[in-house]
Amino acid sequence: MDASLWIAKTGLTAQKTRMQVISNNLANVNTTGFKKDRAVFEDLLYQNITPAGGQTDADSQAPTGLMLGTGTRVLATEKLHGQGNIITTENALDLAITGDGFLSVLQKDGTFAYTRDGSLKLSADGNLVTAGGEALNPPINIDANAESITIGRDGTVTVSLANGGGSAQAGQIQLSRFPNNAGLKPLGRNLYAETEASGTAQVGNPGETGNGMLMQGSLEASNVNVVEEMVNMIETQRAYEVNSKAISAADGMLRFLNNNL
Amino acid sequence: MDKLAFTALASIRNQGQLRAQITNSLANVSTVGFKESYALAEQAREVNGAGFNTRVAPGMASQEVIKLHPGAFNMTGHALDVAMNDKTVLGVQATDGDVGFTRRGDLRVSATGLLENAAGQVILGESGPITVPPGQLVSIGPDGTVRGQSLATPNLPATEIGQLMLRDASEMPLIRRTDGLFEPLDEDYRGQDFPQGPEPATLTTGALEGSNVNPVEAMVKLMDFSRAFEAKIKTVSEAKSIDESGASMMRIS
Repeated sequence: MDASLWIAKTGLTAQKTRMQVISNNLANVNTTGFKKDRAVFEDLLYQNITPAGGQTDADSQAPTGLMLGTGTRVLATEKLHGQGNIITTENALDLAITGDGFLSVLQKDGTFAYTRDGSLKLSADGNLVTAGGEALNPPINIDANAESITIGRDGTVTVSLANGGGSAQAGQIQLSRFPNNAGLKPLGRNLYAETEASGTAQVGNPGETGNGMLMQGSLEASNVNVVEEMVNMIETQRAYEVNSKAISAADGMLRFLNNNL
Repeated sequence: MDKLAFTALASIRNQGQLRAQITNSLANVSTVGFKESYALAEQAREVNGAGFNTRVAPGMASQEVIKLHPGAFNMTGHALDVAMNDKTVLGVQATDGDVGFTRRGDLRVSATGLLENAAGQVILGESGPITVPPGQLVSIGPDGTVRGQSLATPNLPATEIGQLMLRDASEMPLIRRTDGLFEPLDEDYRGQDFPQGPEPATLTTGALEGSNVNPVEAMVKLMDFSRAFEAKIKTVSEAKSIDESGASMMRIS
């Protein structure tokens, strides 16, 4: 039928996908350690109607080709790993990472995953686990007699034992850094997996060699900026509208054609 | 059949292409670094043949030259987002091996360590593609210098790992390729690098350039086209009725 109908349709589809991305960001505005996504748009291939150098008449040539675009698409979504706000919770097992780095956890299937969500819990057998139940790597076991737990900025976990048992070191929390955070694969449940694009994890103690620091009693909030998402939403909605206007203009022309010929 | 109908038809067809171009701009209103083309020009062409030279058919003048006006800058704060200032364009490797240019500045490091944009096109440096050594954090300077900072030695100064192929295109009109990249209009430089223009080629880091499509202009054009289309269809239906009245005159009653 009409080329512009289909071109405008690609615009509608892409804006709808972008709306999904924005909705997901807004839905996760309270998810600890969540990193926002961004939809990546790309223009589609161009059709060559008149090739460059084609004859326009007997003795002149087209200096440039006549190219018609075929629309747009959402190519990918990209995670933006900016720092989220730090919220003080006063809970001894809540950790916020200020700066770069991820907590490494051991998943049930034996592979490692990485997270920025530091709302840790104690498992039944005294290990530090994430809210989802994955044990920290390297594992940290808290003595059953522990009265209080202190986690230093450099990741050292110290417990003070009940009944005058003094204090003891329970372990060292380590952070993993990646050359390309954007290449990490989001697994859901606040977890990320290492990929070829992210590069291999560089494990180190917090605060050393550019690693972030740990803050006990705090959590890192989602880095979704509600105002920014709202502006994106307005932009998406208006872009959707102009594309649907293009469809209705093409539709009106076809209707006129059908009625008048 | 009257020739009038065919002249109107040619015009309708051409305007359909113009409309497709505008719709494509509207569809790409959210594409990073998208640039509109100058509108395709309609060109009158005399049609010679039997009788008087009264017929002028519309033809499409091909003029797919990129409008390098800046789009709105969106400050993202992301280290690998760059927006090109003025009429600077960035060289990338096209899939057919040619050098193409783009205004897309959402860069990233690929799985193989090459610097590429979000559309997957490999970014070219002054001496070929830029490979980021593993374990390095990448930063880009306003002059296009790519520096890498090793994660293991954060106290050492960042080392230069390449220089983006930035070119000022203020004196070189660019045209579009089928893959959406730009290339110089000048045939001597088609599909390859072109000499730097008089202005400095610079970047703004931490920002992305939006599409430079003006939706208001596009909408007004669409309205204009709708009405012009209706007028042309009227011409065709007029031709039809003239033809019909001619046929009825011939009828033996």
